[in-house]
Amino acid sequence: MSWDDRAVGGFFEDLTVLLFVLVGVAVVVSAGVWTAQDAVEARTDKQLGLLAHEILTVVLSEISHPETPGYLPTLDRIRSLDLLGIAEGFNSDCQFCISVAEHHPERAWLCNATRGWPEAAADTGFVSGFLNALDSTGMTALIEVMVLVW
Amino acid sequence: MFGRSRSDTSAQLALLDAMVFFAGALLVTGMMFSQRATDSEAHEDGIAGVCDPADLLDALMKASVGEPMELATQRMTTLTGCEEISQVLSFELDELVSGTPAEVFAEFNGIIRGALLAACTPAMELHLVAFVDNGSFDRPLLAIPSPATSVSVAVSSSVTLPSHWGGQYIVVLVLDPASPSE
Repeated sequence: MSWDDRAVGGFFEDLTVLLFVLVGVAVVVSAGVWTAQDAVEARTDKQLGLLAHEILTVVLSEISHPETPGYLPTLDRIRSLDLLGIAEGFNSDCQFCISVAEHHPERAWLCNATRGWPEAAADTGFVSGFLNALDSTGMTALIEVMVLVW
Repeated sequence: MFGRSRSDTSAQLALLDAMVFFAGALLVTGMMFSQRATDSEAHEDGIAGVCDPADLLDALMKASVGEPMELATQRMTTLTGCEEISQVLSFELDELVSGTPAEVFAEFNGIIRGALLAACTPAMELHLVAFVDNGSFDRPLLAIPSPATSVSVAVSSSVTLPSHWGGQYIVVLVLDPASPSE
C-alpha cells in the first residue's frame, strides 16, 4: 500500500482537477481561435475600406478636376462618365460597385458601374464622398459618389 | 491514517492549483475579448467616418436652395432658388439675432433637413446647429431639427459664416450613429 501514500486523493478529486484543467484549456483555446478569426476579418475589412477609398479618390478627381479651382462638373458629364473604365486602372482583382446619386435639389440616380456579383461577398468595404455639380437649370446640386468593394 | 491525510492534502493542493489555472484562463480570455472589443470600437468609429461630415457640410453649403420661396421677414425677401444655402443660412442667422421668429424660415430649414436626410444613411441621426461665435456655446441660435443630446460617439464638422454685423457664426454638423433617425 506504499503507492497509495503518494496518491493525490482518489479518483473523484482527480476528476475535479482534470475538469478544471480541461475546461480552462478549452476556454483559452476557443477564445484564441475566435479572436484570431475576428482579427483576420477586421484586417480584411480594413484593406477593403482602403481600396474603396482609393477608388473613390480616383473617381472624385476624374469628376471634379481638383487641379482646376472653381470647376463645377455638369450632371450630364457625370451621367456620361465611364466609371468602369476609370476603376479598371486598379491592378486589383477586387469586385466593386460605384454609384453616383444626386440628393439635392432633385433626387436622382445618375450612373452606376458594377464589376462582379455581390451575392457571395463575405467582407465588404464602403466609402462615400460628396461634391457639387451644375444641373440643367443652372442650380448647384449636392452629389454623392458611393463605392462598395468586396 | 497519516498517509491518507497527506494524500488528501496533496489532492486539495492539486485542486487549488487547477482552480488557480482556471481563474488564470478566464482572466486571459477576458483580456483577449477586451482587446478585441477595443479594436472593434475603433473599427466602428472608422465605419462611422465613411460619411465624412466635413465633406457633406462643405458640399451642402455650396449647393443651391433649389426652390423659389418668399420669406416673411421685416422686409419681404424673395429667393429665386439659385442662391447658395450658405448665403441664405447666414441671412437667416442675422435675422434670428435681430429677433425674427424661426418659423419664418421653416420652409428653408426643411429644405436643409431634407437634403441632409437624403445624403445620410438612416443609421445616423443628424443635427445642424449654429452658434454666434462669441465664445459662449451654451444656447444654439438654430438647431435643425434639434440640438444634439448625446455626442459620445458622434462625428462632427463645422464651418464659419460671416454676419452682417462684422462677427461670424459657427455652423456645426453632427452625425450621431448612436441614435439613428426614424
